[in-house]
Amino acid sequence: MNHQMHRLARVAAGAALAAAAAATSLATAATPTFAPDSTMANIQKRGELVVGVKFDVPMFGQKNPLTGQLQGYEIEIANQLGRDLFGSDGHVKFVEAPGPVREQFVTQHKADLVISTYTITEPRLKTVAFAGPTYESKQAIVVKSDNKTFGSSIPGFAALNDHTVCVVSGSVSNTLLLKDAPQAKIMALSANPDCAKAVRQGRVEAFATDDALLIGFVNETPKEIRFVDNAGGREEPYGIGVNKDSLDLCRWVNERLLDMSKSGTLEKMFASTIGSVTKRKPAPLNAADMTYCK
Amino acid sequence: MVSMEFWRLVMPAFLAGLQESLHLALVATAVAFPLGCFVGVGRIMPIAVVRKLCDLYINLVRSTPIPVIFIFLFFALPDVGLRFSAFVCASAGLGLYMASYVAEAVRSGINAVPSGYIEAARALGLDERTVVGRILLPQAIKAVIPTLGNLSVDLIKNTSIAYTISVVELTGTAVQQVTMLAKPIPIFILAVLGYAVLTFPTGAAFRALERNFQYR
Repeated sequence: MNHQMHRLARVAAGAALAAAAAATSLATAATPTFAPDSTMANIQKRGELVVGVKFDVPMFGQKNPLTGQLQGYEIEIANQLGRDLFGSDGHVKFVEAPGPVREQFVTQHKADLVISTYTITEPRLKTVAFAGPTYESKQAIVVKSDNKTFGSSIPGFAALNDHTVCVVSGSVSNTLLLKDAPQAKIMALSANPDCAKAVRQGRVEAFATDDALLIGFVNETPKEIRFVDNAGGREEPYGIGVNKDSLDLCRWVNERLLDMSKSGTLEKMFASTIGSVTKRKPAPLNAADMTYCK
Repeated sequence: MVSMEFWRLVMPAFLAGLQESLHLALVATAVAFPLGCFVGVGRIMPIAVVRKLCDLYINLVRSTPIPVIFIFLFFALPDVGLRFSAFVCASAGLGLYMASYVAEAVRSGINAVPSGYIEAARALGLDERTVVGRILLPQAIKAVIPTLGNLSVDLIKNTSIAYTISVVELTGTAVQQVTMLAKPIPIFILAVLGYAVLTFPTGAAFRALERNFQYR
């Protein structure tokens, strides 16, 4: 029985890939067709693609406090996937998937896809399949806008030796700083917003943490602080969480992402959101790196 | 188990943290005790405005959590151009906070002095300053020495909250060391011992003081 289901899934997935390939060659306006039992066909039947996103991470997934509209890189990816699946706009239903409950959203089928600054990690791969990566996150810093010491990028945290740097006590950046920049004068505070304030008030030169968070703080006060990239930072991939029962959907999303990367759509989405702060360009996606649909 | 190398790595920073905690406690005490006595006496002064102001101070400061005071001094004041170091914010904040408790202790001590003493002193023609300074306060302080001892121990322990505004005292040092060496058990046990080194003699000193007052 199980074996049969696997075979069925494989056939369905194969069909789906063929269908996706066919869809790619056609204009996006046409509604692609999928194998009848595939996850994609079921979503089409239902009429909406349910996507779990963040509502509070600027440039990734944020509900605009003025307009109530969702905006950001991950929202744009979701909208494009919706267009690719249905051939038209307006078929994506967004639900908020906050950090601690993302796994449940995926495993309990509360959402078809979870695109919410979701880092691909070994423990998560045990319960969740990931399409992507869609983003490579790094530890970086922000400094005051008028800072003359740091340019647009540092070669690594070692460049922070002899400088005053704020970190959240016990965080990943705290550990890295102690290791890579033992001469740095560390100010350890208890929360990220405190460190952002310490930089704005000039108490410290730099604030080090995950770039996705830094982008948010720069976005809050773009005139006061600016982003400084960390060329030597270790990359941590963000992916799109998919239920392990729906690997056909996961593979289809990967196909679509590759296509978006090739056509430059993904780069455009990136440039108008995250890239406007970090000045980074995303590396083109490579099928060989998309190994998390399992 | 941890090696000798571990202790060689940990001890210098630990001793520096201990010293910083002690330094913080001493400065905060130098703020808290005189100010507390002043406010405590102010609360029973015959001048209504002074009484009300002291009352307001005690109620307002005593009902504010220490982290809020610290964050206010450290993060809010710079917005109006007043910028102090983390250490100054912590010692001043802790001193101001503990002063409200000292004031309450002093007031309760004053209330514990039987009114007959005051009436007798006044009947002997002593002026108000002598009545307060020579008759009232010595007896009031004697009554509250155990309470002041408790408050001093509290104050020492409360210095640990200064780590939230980046003062690298005993707790801050321990947290940084755990972050670096990932050995929380020996490091936090060391921190516990560090606080004991500060609080035990304090408690003993106040007990000695208590005995000293009794023999008179």
